[in-house]
Parts: sequence; C-alpha cells; structure tokens
Amino acid sequence: MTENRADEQTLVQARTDALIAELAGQAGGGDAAEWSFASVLWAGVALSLTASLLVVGLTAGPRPNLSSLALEWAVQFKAAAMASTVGAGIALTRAAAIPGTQLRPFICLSPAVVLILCGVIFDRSGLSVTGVRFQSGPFCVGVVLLASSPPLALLLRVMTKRGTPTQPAAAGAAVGLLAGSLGALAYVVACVNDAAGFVAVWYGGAILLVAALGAALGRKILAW
Amino acid sequence: MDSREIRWSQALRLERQGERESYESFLKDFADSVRRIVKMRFRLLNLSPADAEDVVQEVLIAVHSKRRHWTDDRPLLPWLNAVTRYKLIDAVRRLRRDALRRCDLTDYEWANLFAADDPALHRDACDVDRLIDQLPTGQQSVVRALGVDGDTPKEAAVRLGISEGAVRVAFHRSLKRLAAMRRRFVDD
Repeated sequence: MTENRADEQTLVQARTDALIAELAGQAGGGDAAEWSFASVLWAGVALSLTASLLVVGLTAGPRPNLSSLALEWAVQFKAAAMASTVGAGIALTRAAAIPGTQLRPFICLSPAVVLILCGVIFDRSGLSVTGVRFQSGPFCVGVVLLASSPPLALLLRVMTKRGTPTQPAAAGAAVGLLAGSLGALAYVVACVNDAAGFVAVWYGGAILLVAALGAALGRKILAW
Repeated sequence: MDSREIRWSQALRLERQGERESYESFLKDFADSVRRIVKMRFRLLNLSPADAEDVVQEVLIAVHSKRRHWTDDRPLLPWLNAVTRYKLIDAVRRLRRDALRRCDLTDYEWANLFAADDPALHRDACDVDRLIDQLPTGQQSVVRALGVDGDTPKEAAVRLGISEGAVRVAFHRSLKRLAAMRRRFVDD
C-alpha cells in the first residue's frame, strides 16, 4: 500500500512539474500592466463622478441658486463630508485590490465620521433631520442609489480586470462604499436639505446600502 | 530580508523580460513551499492528501495569471501568502461541500442503507453491532440513530442535539471506519 501511494505521489507531482514547464514557457507573455491599479482606479473615479452628476442632473436636477449657495456652510459641509468618504472609499478599494495589504476601515473612515459628527454636534440651523418635506429622506436615498449605479458597475469591472482581491466580499463592500460616496457627492448639487443630521442619516444610509450591495455582488463577481 | 523575497522578486522581474529559467526555478521553489503548507493544513483538517497536489496546481495557476498585478514597489512574500491563503480556503470549502454532497442521500436511501436482501447477511448483524461498539461514542449514537433506528438525518440531528450537517459528516466518517474495521475482521 505504501509503495502504491509513493508511486501515485510521484505521478501526481510529475503533472505539477509539467504544469510548471508549461507556465514557464509563457514567460514574458500575458497582459502587460501599462497603467498601475491606482491610475486605473483614479480614472474610473473621475468617469464615475461624471456619470453620477449626469444621473443627478437628469433625475433631481441642480438645486436652485446653487452658484450663490456654493459658499454657504451647509453646502460646503456636505461636499467636504462626501469628499472625505470618497477618499476613504478610494483607500479601501486600493487596499482590497492588492493581496497582503491590510484593510483598515476604521482608520480610513474616521476622518469622514469625525467630520460628519462635528457637523451634527455644531449644527445650530434648527433644520429637521427628516428634511424640508416628509419624502425628502427616501427621495435622497433613491437618487443616491441611482447615481451610484454607474460607479458601482464601472468600479467592480476595474477591480475584476486589474485587481487581485483575496477577500471578494470585503472588496465588493469597499467598491460599494466608494460608489455610494460618489453618488452622494454628486447629489450635493441637487440636495436642498441642509441639516447636518439629514446628511448623516440619509446620505450615510444610502452609502451603507450601496456598500452592502457591493459586498453581495463582490462575493460572486470578484471571486476568481 | 528573507532570501526568498530577494530571489523570487528578481525572478518575477526577469520573467517580465521573457527570462524563462529563473521563472521556472521560482515556480518549483514556490510549489515546494505551497505543497508543505497545503499538506500540513489537510492533515489538520482531516482532508484527503490525494487532493493536496490539485490545490498546489491551482495556486501556481493563480499566481501565474495574476503575476502582472504585483508591482515591484511592494514586497512579494505577503502578496504570495495572501494569494495562497485565498486559494487554499477556497479549495477547503469546495472539498468539504463535495464531502457533504456525497453524504447527501435521499430519505429513502438513508432508510434502506442497512437493509439487506441476502438472508446470509443477517448473521452478520452481531458482528456489525460489535464493530459499532468500537466507534467513538458520538459516532455510535449517529450510526445507531440512522442505521438501526431508521431516523432521517434531520430527526437524528434533533434527537442528538447537533446540526444536520454534523450528522451527515459523522455518519460518513463512521461508515469509512466500519468498512476498514470490517476488512480487518474479514482478513483475520
């Protein structure tokens, strides 16, 4: 029995040696990565934000008097909060694409979380967390979800083609967080609800939904 | 720095220039390392060593297909470790799913597993009982529940206070043990 097993092992290992010879024969071939993952990701982010702005423009339309309100604290706070979430999403997506890199979600997200919390604590506007109308919150979530769809599709494709995710669900969640943040950043140009609490609850909720969707899709699409 | 980091990352840089020999040497060294890890894991997890080499080959193919995604501004060993770990976990899950599927008989098949048309086999009932007594206590309960009392896996799981999956795996292992004991018994 022992001899048979040893023979079997030799045979199986010979197949591995043959595989190694075949793989070595392909040296110098394969897709040469002209652009690094980071460069492709940045290009993807730029394209995605453009697509999200288009979706927001076609669905909700820009806020009245946006140009005059752009310097108001409320609009700047929303833009800064969502931009910092985008930054966290980019950092996490880059880490998820590279095997052996630790994902540090708390560290990456803490600037955005601190900024939003400070906004909520120091907001003296008295505006409602539910927004100017009853349906403001759900409308915000709906538009952000729509605006996040092109980024989610594009960035998942970038991850599939150029990344090497070794935790597919976590990678999908990172991409979802980034896509949701881009959708939310685009929505700032349309949003008429200026309460910091509104941003924390409804923008935050929409981003988390897209992150969860990304995780579910990532588990299937990003496995290789 | 680990000497493998230096040798292996140099081999991958040379591979990009079409250098075959150093790349082949890297793949052989790497395969040896992966083989040791996989065999050790399989021993710990009670998986068949016959499947280990398939996993080694999967890891080699994975590293080969994604080699251009490694950039030489990053250390190579953590990259390789993460890819190996990912493929190993994937393989272990797949092998366990396959093992469970092999246990996944219909209720009719479970009920008739110990039924015999050959009357001569009835005299072996005492032998089987003696063999079952030699199993670990947990496995004895499962075999008696399914094979003697005629419970379905679901009923046995409820009765014994364990999951249905655990019942199936324990029964599969018990059958292998009983078969091995029976062979020794007959040979003697």
